[in-house]
Formats: sequence, structure tokens, C-alpha cells
Amino acid sequence: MASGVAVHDDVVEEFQKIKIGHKYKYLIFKIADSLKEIVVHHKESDKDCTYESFKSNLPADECRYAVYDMNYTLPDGGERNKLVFYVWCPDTAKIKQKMLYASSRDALRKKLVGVGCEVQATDDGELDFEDIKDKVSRGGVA
Amino acid sequence: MSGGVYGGDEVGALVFDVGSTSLRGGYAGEDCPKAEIPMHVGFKDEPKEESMEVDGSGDQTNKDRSGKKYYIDTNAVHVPRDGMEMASPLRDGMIEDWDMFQALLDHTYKKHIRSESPLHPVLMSEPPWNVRGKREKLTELMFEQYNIPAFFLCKNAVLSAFANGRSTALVVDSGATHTTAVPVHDGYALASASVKSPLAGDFVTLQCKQYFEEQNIEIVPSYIVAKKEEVGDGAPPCYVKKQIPDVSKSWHNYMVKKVLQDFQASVLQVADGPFNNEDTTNLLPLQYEFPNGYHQDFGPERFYLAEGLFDPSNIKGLDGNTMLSVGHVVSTSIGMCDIDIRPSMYNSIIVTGGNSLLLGFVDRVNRELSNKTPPSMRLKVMSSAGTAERRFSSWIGGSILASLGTFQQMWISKQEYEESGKTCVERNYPFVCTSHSRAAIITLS
Repeated sequence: MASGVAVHDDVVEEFQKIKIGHKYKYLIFKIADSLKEIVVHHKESDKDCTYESFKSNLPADECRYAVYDMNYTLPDGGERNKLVFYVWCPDTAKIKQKMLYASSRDALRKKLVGVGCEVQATDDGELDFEDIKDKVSRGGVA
Repeated sequence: MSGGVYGGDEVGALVFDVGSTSLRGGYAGEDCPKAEIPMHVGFKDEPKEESMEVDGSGDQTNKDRSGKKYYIDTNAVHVPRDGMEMASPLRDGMIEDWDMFQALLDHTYKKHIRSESPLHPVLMSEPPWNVRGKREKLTELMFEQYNIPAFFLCKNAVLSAFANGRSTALVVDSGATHTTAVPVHDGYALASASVKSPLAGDFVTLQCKQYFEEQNIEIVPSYIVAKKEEVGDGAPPCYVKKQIPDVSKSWHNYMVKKVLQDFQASVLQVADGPFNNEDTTNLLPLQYEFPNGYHQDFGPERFYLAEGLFDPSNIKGLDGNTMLSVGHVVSTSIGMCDIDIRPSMYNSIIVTGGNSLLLGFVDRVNRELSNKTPPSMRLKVMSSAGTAERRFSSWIGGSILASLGTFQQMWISKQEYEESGKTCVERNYPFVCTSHSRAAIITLS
């Protein structure tokens, strides 16, 4: 089901840059205050920034969407790279926000072609790097 | 929370959430339903010429074509009346008696919404297992009888999941008549994998009733009691009976049920683990006073009466082994899902519904499931803390959705209905998952 919230063109454009050019480490999206469309909120171009800094950019009581460019090494030494899509809906967020972000997810997700894994997170525990890496390497949806 | 917390664009849409205990209705954008009307309706078969009185206001609208006279809403229902029977228009969560349902809606519009139905779009919830015929009939009723400008039907499980910030989740709704587990995947309810069990609020009420019968404690609803005197703990009650009309059996049972439900809400608790008499005897007993003045302490009974929800094997008077406990409902439902989405189901289990407000219910669900979760998967049980948000989660979800400016393009408009007839609800309605489309959705993910 959809809320009818649209996706701004910039979102797709910036996503292409992270997908093809690996220009950013991560992107954070939010629903604009007009509640009409999803816009780019933060672009991290520092490729060496830590996962912690990504987590700290997800506010404790507001919802966000994010795409993180994840690099990891397989046990046999092979280097892998995948895009992870996050839906961040902390328990402490307002119910209206949760409703909005959950019901608009589909519209955004359809535009982001090439995402390898999806994470729904409501607290820090679900953002754990190792857990998500596990899921990514199994190619699953979380 | 103050009014309008969730406020959005002003479209004046109405939201109705149809539950087995009550009909929740109100304006979209508000944080709580304006009215909660008991689903149980009193009715009398009466000759047509007689002058009718409803709520003392003397209107006749609550009388339908079959000559039945309906008594609706808490106030009207609780008055003892000669020969008034009680019934609910729902069966199995779906609308069965359309005349009665219409009487309920009429009442809601007239007394609570206090506005004309053609002015407001309507968003309504329905159970995931609702059938096509009933969905179309409801659409027809809303457009033809109430002349509404636009309509939208939504699975209640999807609304609950969204209200908790998840588009993929397993929604465990423990209400009055049923405990259900409904998988929601990407905003679609997977009806074919949803599981229902009758072990819910009404079942606990029945357990209490049996228990009191065994203990020879007579439940006297307050309508019989004119005055009562204070008596000692466990002493026989001393009260004076009221002069009352000759009430029907079904109404009396309804009133007894009200008392039992109050007892249930204030005394019962779900034990942390499988019930064990020794563990609970040294816990604090609770005192409860019945409307007729009888009171006593309840100790282990507090736990044991609710235990059937989680362990149906020792329910008295029932072949409990065939029933699914709350834990089983969840694991069976997840087991019916595609293997790829099972981890995400265990990872977001949303507990909702009035019966889940029993003390310790959510903790016990958590405990039962932690034994059942495969080691490779992670369990997460969520529930909203507030009573209102738990009981009205689907209403609140609908309220937010319908108030969004961007949602307005989603409505089925009256014009659309007129062009394509009642089947438009199916076309405009993407949440119906036949087993075929469900397979498609899963392969897509």
C-alpha cells in the first residue's frame, strides 16, 4: 500500500552516483516537511568515514531512509561491495512519522534499482555492522 | 496527547475500524477515535406502528425494514429492557448482518460524527481474510446508501504494521474473539499465511465464568443491584435487588460478560513461564469486589485463568489439544511464509489488540517465541506502550494515512464507482493476495 508520497528526481540522480561511481559512502533521505516527496538529506563524500559516523547521522527520534555502500571481505579473501537500503524508524519516533515512512517506503524502494540488501531498523541493535554484513553476504532481506 | 497531533491536510475524511468488540469511528488526522461503539447491539422485534424511542431522543431511524428495533451504543445497551436481545452484526470478523451494521453506521453518523455522509471520504478497515463478495457489498453500501464521495478499504494488519514503522512484519492481534497472526510483506497482507485461533479475550472470559461457577460465586451484574452492604472478605453478599423488567437471557449474559471483562482486566495476569502453582502462591494476591458487594482475594487464579492462552493442553471442559496457543499461532503462520521472508518475520513481531493488554502478555509471547525461533534468526517482539495505541493501532494508522495530502490520489472516487461498479474496489485495491500473486510478490523480492 502506498501513501502517494513522491520521490524527488535528485534522489535517483544521487543514487546513480553512489551505485555507478561510488561517489559517496552513504546517502540519507527524508520525507520533506511538506510531506509530499522524499528528498536527499545528507550526502557523505568522505569514502573513509566510519560506520559509526553513519549511525550517528540517523537521529534518535526521527525516521530516515538511507543507502550505505558496504565493502566487506569474504572468508576466502575476496572483496565484495553491495548497497544496503535502510529504513530507520526508531521506537521513539512519532507514530505519524512511522506511518509515513513505512507506507512511503515502497515508492522509494522501486526507484532504487540495484540495492543488494534491505534493513528495517528500530533501534541501534538492528544497525549492528557485523549482523548486517552477515545478511548482505547471504543476500537476504532483513 | 492533544488533539491534532497527527494532523495533516484538511480533507475531512472519516476512518472506521471494525473490530469484534467495537466499531471505532472518527475524523482522520485526530489521534484517537471520536467514538467507540460496542459491536453488540440490542434489538427487539416490534410491530411497526408503535412509537419508538432511542436514547430518549424519540427518533425512529434505528428501526429497519424487517421491523426490528435496534438499541445502539453503551448507554442504550446497558438499560434493562423487556425482551431486548443482544447480537453482533459480525461473524468471524466479517459483516454478516448488514441491516444491523447499517444501523450501527447510521448511529455513528448521527450521534458522533454529526455531519452528512456525502461530505466525507471514508477509509475502512477489514480483516485480512475478508471475502470478495463482502468487500464489494460494503463498497456498494457506502456509495449507494451513504453517498460518500470516496472510499478506501485497508487490511487492519497492514495499518497496524505501518503504525509501528514496519512495512514487513508479523502482526499478532489478540482481540476479543480471535488471536490472529498475519504476515505483512512490503505492505501486503499475506492472507493465505494468516492463522487464527479462538484463544483470545472471550475465551479468557469464559474461563473466568467457569471458574466462578465451580467456586459457586454468582456473578450479579450491577443492573440487578439496588443497594449493597459492606461484608467481610469472602462472606456471602448482602444486597437488595432492583425491580427490573423481564430481560432476555442474551442480554443478561452480555451484562455478566461485562463484569467478567472488568475482573479480567483488573485482576488477571499472564505468568512469566509455564504456569506452576508453587511459583505463584507466594505472589501478591489481588482483591476484587463484585457489583453485589462480594469480595475476596485472588492468588494463583490470577495466573491460572489466563494460562490457557499459552498452554491450551489443560483447559477444562475443552479438548484443548486441538487449539493453537498464542505461540503456536505465530510459529505456524511464519512456517507458512516463504522461507526467504521468515527471518524478517521473526525479526519484527508486532503485538496488538485489546487482549494483549493483559499484564505480562507481551513478555510471555517473547518467551514462548524465543524457544521457537530458529538459532539463525533473530527475534524481536514489538508493542506500543500506550493503551490507546495498542487498542486502536489500526484506527490510528488509518487516521494518519487518510489525512495525508498525497494519499488523496489513492481514494476510489464516486465517479470511478459509477463508471465501473462495485468491482472497482478489487482493481484499486492492491492488498488482496491470492496465492498466485503472493508467489509473484515473493519471487520479486
